[in-house]
Amino acid sequence: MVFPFKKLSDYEIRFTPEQEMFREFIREFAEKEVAPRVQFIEENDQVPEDLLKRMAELGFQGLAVPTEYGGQGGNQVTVSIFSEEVARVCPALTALVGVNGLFVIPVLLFGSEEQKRRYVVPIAKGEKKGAHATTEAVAGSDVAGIQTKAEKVGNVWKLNGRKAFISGGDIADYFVVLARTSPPPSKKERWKGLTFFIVEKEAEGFHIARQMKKIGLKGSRIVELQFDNVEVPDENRLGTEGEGFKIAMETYDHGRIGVAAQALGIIQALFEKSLNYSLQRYTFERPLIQYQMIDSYLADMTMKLVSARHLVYWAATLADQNREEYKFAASLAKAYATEAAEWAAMKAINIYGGAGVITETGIERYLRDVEITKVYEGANEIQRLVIIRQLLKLTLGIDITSM
Amino acid sequence: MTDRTTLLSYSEDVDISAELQSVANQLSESMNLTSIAVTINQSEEENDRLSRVVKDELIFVTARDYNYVTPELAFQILKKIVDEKKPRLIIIGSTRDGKEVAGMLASYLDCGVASDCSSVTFDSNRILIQRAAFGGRVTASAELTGESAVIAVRPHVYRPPEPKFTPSVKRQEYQDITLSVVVESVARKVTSATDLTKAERIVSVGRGLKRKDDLALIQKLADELSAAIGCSRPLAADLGWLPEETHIGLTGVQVKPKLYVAIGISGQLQHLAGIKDSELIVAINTDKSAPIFQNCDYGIIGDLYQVIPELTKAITQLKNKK
Amino acid sequence: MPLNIVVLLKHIYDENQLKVDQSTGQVSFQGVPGKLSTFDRNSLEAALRLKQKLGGSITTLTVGPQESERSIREGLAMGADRAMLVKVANILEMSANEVARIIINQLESLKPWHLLVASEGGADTYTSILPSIIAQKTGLPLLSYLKSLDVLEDGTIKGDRALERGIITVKGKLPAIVSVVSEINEPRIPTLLQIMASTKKELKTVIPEENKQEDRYFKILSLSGKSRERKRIIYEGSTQEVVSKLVDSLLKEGALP
Repeated sequence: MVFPFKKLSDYEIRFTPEQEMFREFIREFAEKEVAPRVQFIEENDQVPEDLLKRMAELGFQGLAVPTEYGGQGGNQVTVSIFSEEVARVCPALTALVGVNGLFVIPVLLFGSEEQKRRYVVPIAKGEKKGAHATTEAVAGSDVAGIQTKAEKVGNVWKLNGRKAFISGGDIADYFVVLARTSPPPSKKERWKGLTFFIVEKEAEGFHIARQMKKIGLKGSRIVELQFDNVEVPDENRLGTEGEGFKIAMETYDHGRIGVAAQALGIIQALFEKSLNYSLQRYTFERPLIQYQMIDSYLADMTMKLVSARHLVYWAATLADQNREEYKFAASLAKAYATEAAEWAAMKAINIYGGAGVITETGIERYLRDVEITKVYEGANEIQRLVIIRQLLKLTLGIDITSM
Repeated sequence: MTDRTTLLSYSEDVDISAELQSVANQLSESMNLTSIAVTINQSEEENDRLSRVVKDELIFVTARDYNYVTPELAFQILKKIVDEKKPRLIIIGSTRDGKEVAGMLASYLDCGVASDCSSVTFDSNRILIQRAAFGGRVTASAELTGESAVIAVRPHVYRPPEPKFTPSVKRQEYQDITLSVVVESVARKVTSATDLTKAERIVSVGRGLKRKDDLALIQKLADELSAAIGCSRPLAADLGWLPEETHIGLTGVQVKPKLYVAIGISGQLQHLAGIKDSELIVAINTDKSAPIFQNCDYGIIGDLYQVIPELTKAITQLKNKK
Repeated sequence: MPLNIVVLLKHIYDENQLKVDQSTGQVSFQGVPGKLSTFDRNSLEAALRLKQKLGGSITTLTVGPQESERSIREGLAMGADRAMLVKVANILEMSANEVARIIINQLESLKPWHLLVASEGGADTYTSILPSIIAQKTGLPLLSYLKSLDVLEDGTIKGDRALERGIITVKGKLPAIVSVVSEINEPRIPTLLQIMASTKKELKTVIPEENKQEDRYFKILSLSGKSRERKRIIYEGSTQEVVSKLVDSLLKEGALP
């Protein structure tokens, strides 16, 4: 038995010729239409309107949304390909587009037909944008610790609270918002009593409190959202009351591979640039590539790149086969790829030497981007918990918390 | 095989026709052919000038009622001359119109054809040509066999021969030729007088230039360097900021200056094909990974808007010191 | 009026990835990836825009080896309705007249068609001869090197030819042949949906009749990729520094007036 799986074919990765063609076209898009704008995006922490429009037109917001909801009908492998190829040029853009997924996924999985029609379709078609509001200043990894409350008054819910670190909150039209609708029954069951709601940006009492300035992923802004007695009709409740925690976990499970692919794109970029530089740069009258230490760094970078690639697409393949095990495979991929990207970024700076710490060179920003990927979408520490707990639960049926 | 005793040459551009005579003279000598040049709707003056470089015969064709000689019209006329003269070889100037004519003639004669040739020679009884291929990365050497052949020769590769000939001049008139493609209007481009193929120094600009007005910056540098101005294809063909004569590349002009300065040019293969014979290539570009840096002698990774003014200043200072 | 358009697509060796021996200049095609000839994407885009405006259908026609399928599929993803491949072993060995005859043969089977769209040249060999040979053999009008192209309701085709000395506006009647220059448009990037939909589109393969080899009058003797070794001395740093270094180098080289 090839534990934690049963047979060798469980580790297969499959690609179709259409996915290869898709990859080449995304590569072309990234090189031709994104690369020339990267400097601007980095310096202004803003993605130009026309580029946003173009991405919406090309169907990027609905890559994995079924065609009956206005999407492109792609799968996790396709989304990973997109995320990687775009991140290779501009990691922030992957995040910006990916954020729509964090809205669309929970609605597709747990929403009513009406909610899907009303909210998923326009996002998939690129007409509107979505965002996900769970995190608060007091609760990031500890989703159950959120303090935003939702109180039912007649047939309407009133939301009060403040969300923080919300990616894409500045440009989103629709939000899925997690709030506490009833107190937890016991300390052990803190995760009970949470509910998701769909909130539209025009809702009275809702406003963007402030932008939070971060070190990287410039262009993909994060904001604080303020909810002051925001009224949400019950038909905008997502899923059943109290189901919120489960919805959040499912959402993050589904979105995780995209982040791993984003980190993979970063490693790819760093590898290409470092290799190129080592071939061109001369020191003491010899090219860098002739120095053993440089070769060692590059060899290790290659190991990490190829390993990350396999993890990402393997996790995506499992997800596309609807196998539960994809959850911990995705955690493996996310934790590994983001940390490998961090290592690669640091080494790339070393290889570039002085030029590596000059912002114009374009290397140091990958390190700033990567630090964020390690922390969001499930901090890597949490990923490690998921890996072991899911692995044991799915393969041996063991729940370590009740041992 | 042996009843083909003539060599025909034609270009819609009379200056290019003059260049073709170098090839025509060489080949007709070594292959023992009568060299016949054909012009269509050129002025008396132009024909007179051309005749001095034509070895044996000049056919001066007038097609009344046509203000523009389309390739189709040229073909219809040349077809009749071909039927009459039965050429062994037809040499055409490899312009866009010229290539169209060449193709039609090769199809009519069902013979071999080669376009954009940078050299034509007759060696050990074989007609050999050279032309660029694969974006200009490769030079192909080929042979044309068969009873006859059509060869389109790149403009500005050959120089016109010494004007010392007195060919016999025949005049022909054509009218009532039905054409399937009609010319509605002609908008002649502003032409540049400089012959880049002769320039010693060239300052060339590409898509890195943001606005047409910024050409002033480039012109200043060119003036200080006593250099001619060139460009990559997009600036001439797409944006129309510079005349087509200044477009350097596989489908433009091929230059061989002492100094070639490529500003804001990425260095695609097709452009490199136009500059590969330069003695010294200098590149200025913000993009470190631009292919031009693999194909230059000296390069600056920097913003042209900073570098060019500084460079111009430095050159001026040098000149003032002298 | 709906147009039936045939677009010529060529699958070529990627000229940017040729293997050239630095010392001998010898060229190798071993392991060189193939791609859709760059200019052909502009041809197809031009056809797609006409179809969007007037309705009709687009069939792509390729003469090439089995490997061409990859490029043909790209054309289908961009929006062509169906494709045809005339399978030959090595198109680089064939003469222009030969290829033209094969194309004309296939065009017969594709009748009725109104417009044949070609590009300014194959990005590999760039002979630019094929459209005029096809025009001469079929007797159809040819509007070549078009920077703009329009078809009017009465079947008139109009375009601006981009020539060295100016823009010549020409007009003809369908059925006709056109060749377009790359400046005519920006080829589209298909969406995932379009890529997936293309897998269901028809790709028909035919084998041409055996050709009498006598008319291969153009024989390639050799290919050389010999290129001049450049110094590749790159300067980086403050503007003043790099300019000063460059000027010094140019002075030493005697390149300044």
